[in-house]
Amino acid sequence: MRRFPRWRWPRAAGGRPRSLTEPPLVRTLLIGAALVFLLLFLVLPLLLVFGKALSEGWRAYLAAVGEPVALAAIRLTLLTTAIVVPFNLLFGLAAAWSIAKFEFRGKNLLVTMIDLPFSVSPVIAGMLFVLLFGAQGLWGPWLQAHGIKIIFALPGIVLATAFVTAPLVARELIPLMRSQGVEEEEAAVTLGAGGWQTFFRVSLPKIRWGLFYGVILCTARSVGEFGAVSVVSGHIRGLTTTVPLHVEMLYNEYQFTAAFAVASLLTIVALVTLVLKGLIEWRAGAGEAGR
Amino acid sequence: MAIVLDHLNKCFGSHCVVNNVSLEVRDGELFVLLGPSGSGKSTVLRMIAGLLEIDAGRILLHGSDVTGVSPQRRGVGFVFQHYALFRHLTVAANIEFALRIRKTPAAERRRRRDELLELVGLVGLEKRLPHQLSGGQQQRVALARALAHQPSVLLLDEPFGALDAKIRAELRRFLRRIQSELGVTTIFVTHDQEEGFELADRMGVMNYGRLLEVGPPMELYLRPQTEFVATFLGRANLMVGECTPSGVKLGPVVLPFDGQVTAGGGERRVQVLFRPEDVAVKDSPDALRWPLLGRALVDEAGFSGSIQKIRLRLPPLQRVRPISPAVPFGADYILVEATRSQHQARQFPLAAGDQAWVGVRRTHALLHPGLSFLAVTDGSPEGAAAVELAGSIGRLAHARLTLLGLDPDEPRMHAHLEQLRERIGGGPAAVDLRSSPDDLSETLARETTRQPYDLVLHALPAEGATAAAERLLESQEHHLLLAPSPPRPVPQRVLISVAAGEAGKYDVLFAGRLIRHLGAAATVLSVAPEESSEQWLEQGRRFLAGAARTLSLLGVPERTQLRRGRIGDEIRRELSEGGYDMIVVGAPLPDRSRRISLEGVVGGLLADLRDLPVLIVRADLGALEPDRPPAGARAGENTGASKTLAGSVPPDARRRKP
Repeated sequence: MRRFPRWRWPRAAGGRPRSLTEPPLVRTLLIGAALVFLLLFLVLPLLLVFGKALSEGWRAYLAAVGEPVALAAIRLTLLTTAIVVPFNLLFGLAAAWSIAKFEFRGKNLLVTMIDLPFSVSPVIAGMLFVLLFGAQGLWGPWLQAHGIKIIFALPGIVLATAFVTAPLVARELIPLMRSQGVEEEEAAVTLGAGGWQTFFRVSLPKIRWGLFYGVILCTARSVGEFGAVSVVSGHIRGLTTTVPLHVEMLYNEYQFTAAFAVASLLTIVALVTLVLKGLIEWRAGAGEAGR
Repeated sequence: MAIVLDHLNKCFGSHCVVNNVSLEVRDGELFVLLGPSGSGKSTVLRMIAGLLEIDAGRILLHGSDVTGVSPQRRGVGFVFQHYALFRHLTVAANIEFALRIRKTPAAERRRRRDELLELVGLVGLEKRLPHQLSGGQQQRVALARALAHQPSVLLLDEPFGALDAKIRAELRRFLRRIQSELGVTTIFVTHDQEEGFELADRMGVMNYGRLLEVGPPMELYLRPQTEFVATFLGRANLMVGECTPSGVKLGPVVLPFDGQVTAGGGERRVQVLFRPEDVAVKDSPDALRWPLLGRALVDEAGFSGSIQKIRLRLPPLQRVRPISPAVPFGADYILVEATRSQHQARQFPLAAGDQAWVGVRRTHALLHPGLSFLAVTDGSPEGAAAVELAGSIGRLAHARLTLLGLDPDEPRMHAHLEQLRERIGGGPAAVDLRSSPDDLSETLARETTRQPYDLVLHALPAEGATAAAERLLESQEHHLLLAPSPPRPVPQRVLISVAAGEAGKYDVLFAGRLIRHLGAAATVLSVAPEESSEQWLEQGRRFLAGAARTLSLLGVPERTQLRRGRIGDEIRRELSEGGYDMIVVGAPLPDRSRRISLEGVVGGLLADLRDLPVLIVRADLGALEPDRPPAGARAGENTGASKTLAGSVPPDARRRKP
């Protein structure tokens, strides 16, 4: 017969002596507090989202998700993400590369600017684009004269999303590239590898997990971005509503079940991201363990 | 020659990490480049590999100039200190990397890979990733990888630096075996002299960007030419003594020496090296079959495996300056290190506090005595400016520097000197501190008698400069550099104003030795009186031509100028036209009471030159004795012309510009 494991007080990490660590009671309380918080504010709400989404049964769930407007929102979100992620991948790689490997004038400025989208509220970011490209904006008249529509259309949504997610890949890569140094590249060069060969055979493989993780984060954020997109989208149902905007509109119209049904899609994206993140950390950790 | 480096230079800003390095490495040779960290040895290696651009100079590999060739096409193998293995590739893929790049057929690639795995003894590990190997194994993979494309030159940058002692020793033997098996020309960079001794066919020692000496390890250990190499390779007892025809004089004793020491050209002081194993320690002077240094007190006697290390205190010797081991501040003795076999230690046991008689079995005199400077400060900003100039020149000349502080409050002065030393940083061969509560003349006389200096640096006094300079030149034989304040950058254009004569030659020679280190250009100016004859002018021209040859042999870019008129006026005119930032003048010969009077031209210049460093060179008459070669001859000067000139100017008629 299997027995439950006997209760044990949590041990201090690294086997440190008693005098150097907290008393067992404190350890237990701290761990308990963290777990309770996690349960109350993360796990429970997550379950509630799925519970609410399925509260009227599978049929209602599928109807809400399969509704043409919802499908259009999903399409728009996927399209936006498909444009934004590769763009930010290249931008992040270029920025991290130049920051980690070159010395140039304005480098500090570039480092600061990369963080700007994190420090600026997304709503303000959205408004910046309205100021630039809106009908009354800086370049508005010129754009109108040439029949180019940016605000309240796909380009605006892509721009806003790209802006908000711009730091993610670069932020992931800069510390990684700095710590890795350039010795492997130098070794490749002395072995005869040219610039591109060095890049594809050495530099890129070296940072692949960091890059992958950055892309995952960037994707998750692009799918879920609300604030900036909300300002530039114009909320034209079926045309310029992304999934998060669609959820908000349904919610405002008191269609709670439908709102949560679509929201559950976003939740699934978040969960998949978490799982992938765990996998990558495990893989990358295995690769680095011997260093 | 497999590798030829021709006057390589590399500077980062104003900091030159590689300074005029020239080197030839023979085919199949294992050459070790040795030096402390920051000496520029790795920089040289990276420049050979093409990983670093060079500022000036050329690199030849097997006779072809690769200076502008990309690293990919130089065909070198490079092994890094931290292995730099491709972490995402297996051992096999790492080794095959260079062959894949070269699109070698798969079968050939596999054959070569297996060959290399066998060579480095890693058969069976080809599927592992780098992080699954130990450090020693990783470095062997790195070596195999660097050899895969059959490079003509193998470069190793402190490859065993990150490994522990036992594995290092193992890998050393392993590398030596592989290198002689393959016969690939190899440069091995390390800071570990033991590693260098064990591996090298020949080695070169670097410090502060300069390649100081090149030779077989044994030769460099037994017969170093520079102070740095003497003290960097193994333990050394190094003192400055005097050179006499019968041998090297260290205080009361005359020691025989091995090499040929040329005491010409006024270099009567000489650095004497004896290794700890050359020191004999006995219980009575009669038991010593070697020249006797004196009776010493045992300071320390320690056990270190197969040998016994002893530190001995000797009473101070007149006019002997110890360099190594360094004597603690304020000590009045000389330290000597000795080693004995355990057998000897058992026969005559010694412990700290015992007395013993000390002799020397073998001495070696260094050919190039380093420059030594004494910078005097009274704690004022002007004094600090003089110290700063001493620091920057001392750094470039790799001179020994002593900072002398004059202040009744000695502890305060000592703290101030510590600060100044901090500011100077590394660069000079050594920076010693001395403070004294006494006045300048007394302290200077004492200090310069105790240890001779080449150059004394002092602030250019605002008033009474002439009298002050005379006082500073009163004792001993040093030259004098008066530094303006606030501090100026290191001089780049120097005016050497000297009389056409034997003493003038010495002035040019000493100024040239100093200026060479600064990387400055020099103009030699000679002024002839308005009414001087054509013959006089002709002599002046010949003198200047000789001076130019001397300077260019020293590597100093030079220009000469012959002017007619009143001396002081012409010097001022040249100064105002030439954009100079330092002036060298010769001091007149001392009178019968050995006093030097600077009234006249030098005094006149000192009275109104406020913003130029002024170097006053004292002619060394010893260097001008007829039985010694003339000063210029040492530097290869054509002596024919100068002899005529010397003959026409009798030494006692030699008035340096009335």
